[in-house]
Amino acid sequence: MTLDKAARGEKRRVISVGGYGIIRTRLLELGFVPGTEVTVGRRSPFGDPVEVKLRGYRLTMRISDLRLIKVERTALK
Amino acid sequence: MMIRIALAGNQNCGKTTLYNLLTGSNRRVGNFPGVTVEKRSGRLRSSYRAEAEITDLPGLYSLFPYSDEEKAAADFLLSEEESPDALMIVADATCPARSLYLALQLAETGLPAVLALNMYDLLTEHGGYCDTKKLEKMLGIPVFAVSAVENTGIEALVGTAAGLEKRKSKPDSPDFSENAIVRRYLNVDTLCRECFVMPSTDSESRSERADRIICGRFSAIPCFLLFMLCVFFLTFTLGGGLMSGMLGRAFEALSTAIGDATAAAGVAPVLTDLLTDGIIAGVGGVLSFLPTVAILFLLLSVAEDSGYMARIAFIFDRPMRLFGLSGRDAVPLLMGFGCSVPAILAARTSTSAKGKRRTVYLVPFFACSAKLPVFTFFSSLFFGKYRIAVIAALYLTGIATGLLSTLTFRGKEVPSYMLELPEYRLPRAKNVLRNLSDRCADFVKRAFTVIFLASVVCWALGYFDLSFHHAAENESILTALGGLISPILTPLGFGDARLAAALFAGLFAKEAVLSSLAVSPGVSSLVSLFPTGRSVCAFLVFFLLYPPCLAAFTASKKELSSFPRACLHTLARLLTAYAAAAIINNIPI
Repeated sequence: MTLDKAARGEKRRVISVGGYGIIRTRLLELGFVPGTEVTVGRRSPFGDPVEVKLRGYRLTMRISDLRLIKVERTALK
Repeated sequence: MMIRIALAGNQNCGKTTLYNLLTGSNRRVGNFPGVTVEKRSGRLRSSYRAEAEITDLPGLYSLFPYSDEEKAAADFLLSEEESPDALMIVADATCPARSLYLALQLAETGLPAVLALNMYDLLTEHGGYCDTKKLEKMLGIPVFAVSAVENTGIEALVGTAAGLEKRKSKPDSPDFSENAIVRRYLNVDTLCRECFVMPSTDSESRSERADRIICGRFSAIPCFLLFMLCVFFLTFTLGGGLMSGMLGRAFEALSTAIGDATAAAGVAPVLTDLLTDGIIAGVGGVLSFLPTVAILFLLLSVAEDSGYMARIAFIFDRPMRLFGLSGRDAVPLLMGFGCSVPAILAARTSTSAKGKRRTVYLVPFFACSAKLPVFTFFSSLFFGKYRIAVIAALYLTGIATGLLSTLTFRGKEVPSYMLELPEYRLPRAKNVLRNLSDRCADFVKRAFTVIFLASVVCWALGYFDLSFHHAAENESILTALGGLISPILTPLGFGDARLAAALFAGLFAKEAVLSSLAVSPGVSSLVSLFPTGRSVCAFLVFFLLYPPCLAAFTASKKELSSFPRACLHTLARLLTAYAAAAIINNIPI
């Protein structure tokens, strides 16, 4: 599944990043490397962009970019 | 040669505060320093007993450039000639992962470096800890836990930084392949695990709780409107009404006193007239708006420093996309309410060339603070108690016209958007005041240069006739010159020569419209220049939309890196203004 499908507050783990060129490099450089845990946060009042928490900081990005990030559920405790 | 050290770090890591602390007043600023836009340099404060020149770079996530601003910083760091002798890498101790990623990249350049682990006080306050000795060993560069806000740990940092060996060779460009990025993040994970104890982050942070309201689904727009209302309310009442009014009366008193004194001393009347009706009326008239402009800048600077501007970008990204812009471009546009020049320069944070061009075109439609005195003056004179409504309508007309005209731009692809939401923080008084004093100094400088010149020229044109004698009414050079332009403006309802001259002066500085009218003869009866109320509106709308001042044109030319394109923008603005004014004056509603 991709990150845009995750509901608010759910924790996911990055499997891989799609896209190509600058966008792909940027996503990787912002820390979306395989194994990273991410949590989807609030939506903007107009529905898009969305807040994503990873590596201790809060990033906001568009849903179209979230679609590029493949994630899996983290193991339940 | 003294060692040249560059401050490099993420946005929001407290770099500006550290820079201000290190350089004190020994700084060199460009013509129009934006908050983080220009490369700013300064000598190290003498109290540190070390010599170094410090350059502040724009905030970076990586040396791989995504915007023109980041490209400028990366090019500077990696160039053989310009690159600094050494680096002071600034990291945010409360968010080590992101900071350390950049630090690792910067270390790969081979430049000698020290790492300043800033905001360390905030880390320990929440129960966190960093083993700096271990971090130092693992990174291979000296690490100092500091707090620029509390001024702790800075001495040791500066001592080591100033004593760094200068670089010997050209910096290496880091590897940006996927493998290199993943490898760096593996290192970052190891560093974070081995050297940092982070405070537990289970509970929502204070900023997140605040964002429930500030970015909330139903509360975000009311919050934004409230913010804008506060900005303009404070600007108009506290700045415009109270303080500017007092300054204005002071200048009038000065003018009367000088008039009386020179008359008593028997000074030639032409000199008295130049002093009182020329210089004091013109320069003083503009200077009395300094408080208004200062308060507007103060509030915008507070919004930027507190972290609210990033929220505005987040909230408005989707609507901005309709106009081919990203939420990030909202920041330069709002800065446009202060001054078009830094706002146009700030467009370089845009992530695409098209987005940047649109932003540069759009900024002057967000009426700058120099237009405010003119709006205030005319609307108080003509619209009395409805003046605030008229001014608000003018601002909205500007924004609406600008946004609608971007729809005519070719190409619909939207610049990308990714933005960090920083923690809210109280703006540092020093940062805000420093920014404010730069802007005020600039305003005052303009009053004594451009405005001074414009006032004297306008006064002379109005005072003398073509044979340089004191002109009788309607025989001055001004009337003759204005007579040439005024037929073009007559269809708009304001064909008077003096208004034409004032609008021309406005091309050099918007506030000069007011000063040149103030020194034109016979304008005590300004009301008589406008045949109808409709023509006043047409004049104000024309003034709102016509090309910005020369300084803004120069900035556009620089940002667009194309003189023809900047001229095209100017022509488009002129036509828009003419058409809008013609419609208002001629089409009955």
